[in-house]
Amino acid sequence: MKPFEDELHRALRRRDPPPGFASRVMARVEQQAAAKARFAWLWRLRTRLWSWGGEGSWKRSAALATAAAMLVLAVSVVAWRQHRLREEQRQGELARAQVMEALHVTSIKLHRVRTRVRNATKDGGQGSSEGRSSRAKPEAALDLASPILD
Amino acid sequence: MKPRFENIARSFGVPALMALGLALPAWAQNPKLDLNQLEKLASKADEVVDVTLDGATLKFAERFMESDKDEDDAEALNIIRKLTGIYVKSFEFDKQDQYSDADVEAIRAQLKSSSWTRMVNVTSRREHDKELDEVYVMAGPNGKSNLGLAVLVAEPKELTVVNIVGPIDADHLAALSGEMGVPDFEHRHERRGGKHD
Repeated sequence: MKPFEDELHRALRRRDPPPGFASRVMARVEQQAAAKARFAWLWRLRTRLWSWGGEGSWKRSAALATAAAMLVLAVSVVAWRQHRLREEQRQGELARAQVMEALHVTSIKLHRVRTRVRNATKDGGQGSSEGRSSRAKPEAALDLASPILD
Repeated sequence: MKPRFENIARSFGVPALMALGLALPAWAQNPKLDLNQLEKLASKADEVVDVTLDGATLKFAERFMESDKDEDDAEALNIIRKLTGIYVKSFEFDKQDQYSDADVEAIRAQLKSSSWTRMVNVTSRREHDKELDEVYVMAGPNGKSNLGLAVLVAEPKELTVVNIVGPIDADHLAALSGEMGVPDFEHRHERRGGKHD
């Protein structure tokens, strides 16, 4: 038993702390106290909210429900706005495609009419460019027909 | 009792008749054609282009194209800016005689009113090549502006009616028909990889 007792005695013997240990400990304590003081308001708020109306009070439940509802409402508004923007973009693209399609068909047909008028005039065929022959027709109509007839 | 009835008739009847008198010329000057009777051809057609753009949709498209600032849209924007409607119905069939003369006449009957002026009429009466191309313009009340345009193209396997409502000028029409060196929509559509008939 003697060697074991000696070893135990050696392990438990008083040892002095390294130099500066006390000052380092005190500095750490002050640092933690300062950090706690910085967020003390948050801690106080949390404690106050938690203890508002006492444990299981309707006030606390109502406050929590209101906060949750407001959060859900805010998220819903943002999502709805995003959806509306996307929908507007989609409808705008569709309207533009329709405009371009309509102008495309109009262009093809007018081009074709113009070509046929030219061919008919060249051949002395059955085409009639009525705008030219009748001066009784409205001025605007004659102007408008000129790109096709000329 | 009778004088009272006469008073009522005078009070309401005269303004009603005046309103009717004012409304009738306005209705007669309406450049929008009724193309509904062509709807039935859609089931027989191989390919259908059916575009209905009323004033509100055109304004929406205009706002969208303006905000998008695509250079290719500039010319189209220029054309549609003053328009209040574009209506296109085009049917391509895989065989002949899929539409009747009555279908064509239903459209032509509307264009026979005094408000419309037929500017171009090209017909071909060859046996297997019956074709009809007509362009109509509706002139405004002063005769110096126009209110609309209609293009009717009938081919053996194709029937197309274009109805443009609103003031369209010669420059716009030239641009549409590929005149004056302005790149026309036909070629632009090809460049964008679209179809060509």
